[in-house]
Amino acid sequence: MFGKLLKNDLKAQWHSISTIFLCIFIVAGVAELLVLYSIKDIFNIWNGNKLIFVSIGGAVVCLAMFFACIVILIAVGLLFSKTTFGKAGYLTLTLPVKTGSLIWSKTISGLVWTYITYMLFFCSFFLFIYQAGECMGGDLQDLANQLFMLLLGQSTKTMLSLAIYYLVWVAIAMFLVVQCMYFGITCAHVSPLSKFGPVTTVLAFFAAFGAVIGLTLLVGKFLPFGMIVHDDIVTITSNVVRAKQEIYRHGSGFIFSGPMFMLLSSVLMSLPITYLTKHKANIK
Amino acid sequence: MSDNNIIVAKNLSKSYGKHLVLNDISFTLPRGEVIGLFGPNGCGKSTFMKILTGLIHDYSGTVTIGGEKPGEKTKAVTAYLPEQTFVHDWMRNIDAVDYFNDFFDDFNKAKAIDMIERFGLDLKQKSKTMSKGMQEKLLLSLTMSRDAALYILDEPMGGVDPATRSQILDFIMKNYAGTSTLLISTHLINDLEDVFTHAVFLGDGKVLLNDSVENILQDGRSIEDVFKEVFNNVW
Repeated sequence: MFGKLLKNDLKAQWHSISTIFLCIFIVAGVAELLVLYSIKDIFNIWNGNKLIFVSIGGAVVCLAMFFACIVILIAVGLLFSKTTFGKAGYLTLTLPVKTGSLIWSKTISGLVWTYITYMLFFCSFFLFIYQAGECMGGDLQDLANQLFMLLLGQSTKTMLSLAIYYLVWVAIAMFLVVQCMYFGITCAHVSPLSKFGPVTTVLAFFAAFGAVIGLTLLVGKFLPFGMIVHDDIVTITSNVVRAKQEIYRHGSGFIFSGPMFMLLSSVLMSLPITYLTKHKANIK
Repeated sequence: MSDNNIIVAKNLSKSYGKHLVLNDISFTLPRGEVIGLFGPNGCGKSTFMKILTGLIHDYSGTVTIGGEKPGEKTKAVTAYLPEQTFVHDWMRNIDAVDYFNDFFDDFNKAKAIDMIERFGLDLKQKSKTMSKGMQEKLLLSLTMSRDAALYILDEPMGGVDPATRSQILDFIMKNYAGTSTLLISTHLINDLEDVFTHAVFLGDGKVLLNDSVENILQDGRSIEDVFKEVFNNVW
């Protein structure tokens, strides 16, 4: 049954964002074409303005993708609100399935679309830097090279570890944002908080998000468990900070405890969301 | 609890702010009957139905369907038609059929498609592009294509013209499983008078009448006459 819920939630999400995403991708696509034509200067019309056109095109691509990141969060929140506590909730909440399954299905579908969009944004940003460097050579080329050297200059294992760590970290952060958003929306449908409507959503979101981030920082500070990659050797350590100071001065350190706490908090946040939806929230 | 009763409510109370809609009511509803739930606007008919379907939780007292509190088990055997259109905006009629088919084991897909086509609806039309009457027909087709133990229909003919009304009524009566219980809330007493076998009048937060239609109509009056008499005394 969970698979069916997920399938339908992914579909619903796609239908709610497809039109606006199509527009965003068309804008980004046109801007990217401008960049490509500027770099290759096929028609020899850009003359000395190559950098301006590449900058404008690249900035538009990044801005379009950044806009998509904001749109996807709003769309995920609105869809949760509409399909759980809005008109469609009359169907969703009368399905013979566990409330926990309903919530998890919406969380995972929201997370999938959010994650894909944020990855596209970061890709567009790196593409912009790479293309600007390719276009200009000189100072900007150096800047781009420096940026990539900073990453690529590391060993393969470090690079791989960094990439995996980064991908997982972004996924966990997105997971937390989606859960806090659902928590805020659910609180806004529980009496007597429902009187304050969207204000409740915003306050509950920031309260939950702020609390988890604050505790995550504390956990990372006092329990700096993680790994250090040094000379292609991965070392798991209970104190990344001390190990880096005392032993692996040139190694790259990755703290696990903070992200793990954030992940645990996000998972546990489904409990109050499920409880409130099942026992306290009302449909108007 | 008697097996003859499908719905049992005990000391049920629900308020919206300071407004008490259901005031400590206790009653039972018999199994296998066509039950009319009557009362003026705001008397708690829809609220009672939402409690039964598990959409409202902040009430006091207890209510059971077939001995079970509203939850996963009761949702599997209860077909609910709310006043509102509940189909997602993006869905075409065929998508809504598939959605029901995915989640309800007692749903008959072929029957639903047949009903939708008989109503003259296009399976590929999006629900948000349809009129109120067309949406009503779609929702009825979906709801009545389930082989449920209990059908809960909240104002099933609320926004449709008289011709469609009689079509829908005919449709409901032909398509519900005879052994099931049908709980219908409506203001259109005249249109539905002949189909009810049991009636419940809600008003002033209380159950004012809960009896078989046979008993109610013993002295030759209609349900509407009784309705006017009961509610003129209350409101």
